[in-house]
Amino acid sequence: MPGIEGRSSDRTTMHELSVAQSILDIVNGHVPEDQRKQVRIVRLRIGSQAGIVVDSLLFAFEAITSDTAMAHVSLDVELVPFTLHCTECGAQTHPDIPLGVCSACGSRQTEVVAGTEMFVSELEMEDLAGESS
Amino acid sequence: MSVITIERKVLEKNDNVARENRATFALEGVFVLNMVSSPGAGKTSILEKTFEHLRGKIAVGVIEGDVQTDLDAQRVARFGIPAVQIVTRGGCHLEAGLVREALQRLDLKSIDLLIIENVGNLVCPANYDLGEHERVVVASTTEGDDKPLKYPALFRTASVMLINKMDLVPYLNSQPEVLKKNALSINPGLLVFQTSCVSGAGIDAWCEWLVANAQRNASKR
Repeated sequence: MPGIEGRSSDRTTMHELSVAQSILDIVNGHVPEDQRKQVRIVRLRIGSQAGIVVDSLLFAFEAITSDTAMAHVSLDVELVPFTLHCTECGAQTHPDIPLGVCSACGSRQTEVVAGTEMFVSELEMEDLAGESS
Repeated sequence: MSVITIERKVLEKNDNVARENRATFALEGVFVLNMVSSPGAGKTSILEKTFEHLRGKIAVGVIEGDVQTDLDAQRVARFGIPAVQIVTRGGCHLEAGLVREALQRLDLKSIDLLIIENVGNLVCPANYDLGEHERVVVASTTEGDDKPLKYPALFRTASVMLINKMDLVPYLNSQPEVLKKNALSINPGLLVFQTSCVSGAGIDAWCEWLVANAQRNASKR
């Protein structure tokens, strides 16, 4: 059919797999290849409403790092609660369902201040023997 | 043990490419939508109705994202609309990089409005900025009025909602007003249109909004 241009992607299949790959890319960008064996823990800060299933993320990260220098690395996830700030009454609330309406005063003048983020926060590296830290 | 502080957004690479896409759209004066929904909500049908209405008013281009096949691009191409198909081969969402590559095959200079039809999925597309101006979520009356509460991220990150398949309401237990109320409780700022691709109801208002935005955007070029 004229007018159609196609393209296939050989990238991600599962959402968490793509996120795991992004995490690995960031770590690799920070740690030179010869030091990757020393990485022990990658600390993440993930919002409870970031749309990430933590178990799936751990599984995906394990899958893409097995048989690599990072095979022994574990992910440590700090789950950040969804937090709504009401610009009218000033309340900070943590609703179970992430409503955009203030549960304290009913105002719609609100902003989401936490709970949707996804950050690589820290790396824990093992020091090489004989090296002072 | 030593600790290295990183503090980097996991999806920063995607966000950076999305920013570049947005700059490209601004340069070319193209108004860009990212259309998201569950599979079968009627995105492609809405596009077909939209093309009929916009013919002769503004020039439209389309990027179609699907897990498999170029069936949607074929449907769209029948209208003589330039269409690029991205087949994700299992991938559950479009990313900014895929859109950037697809842009190579579109002549943005001849387009006023670019509609990116995302993979049908109510979860993952929420996290991926493509560089769009507006994210449009399509919720159909057959899906259940509680969808926004069950899949809040997509409704929170969208700026516009279409309630589609309004013609089926008499045959359903669905109450579009409840669906709308639920969506607004997640995202009070949502702009809501009610549409039917069978009766054509609501398509006029939706298309008027598109034309007004495309024209406003082009004048900023």
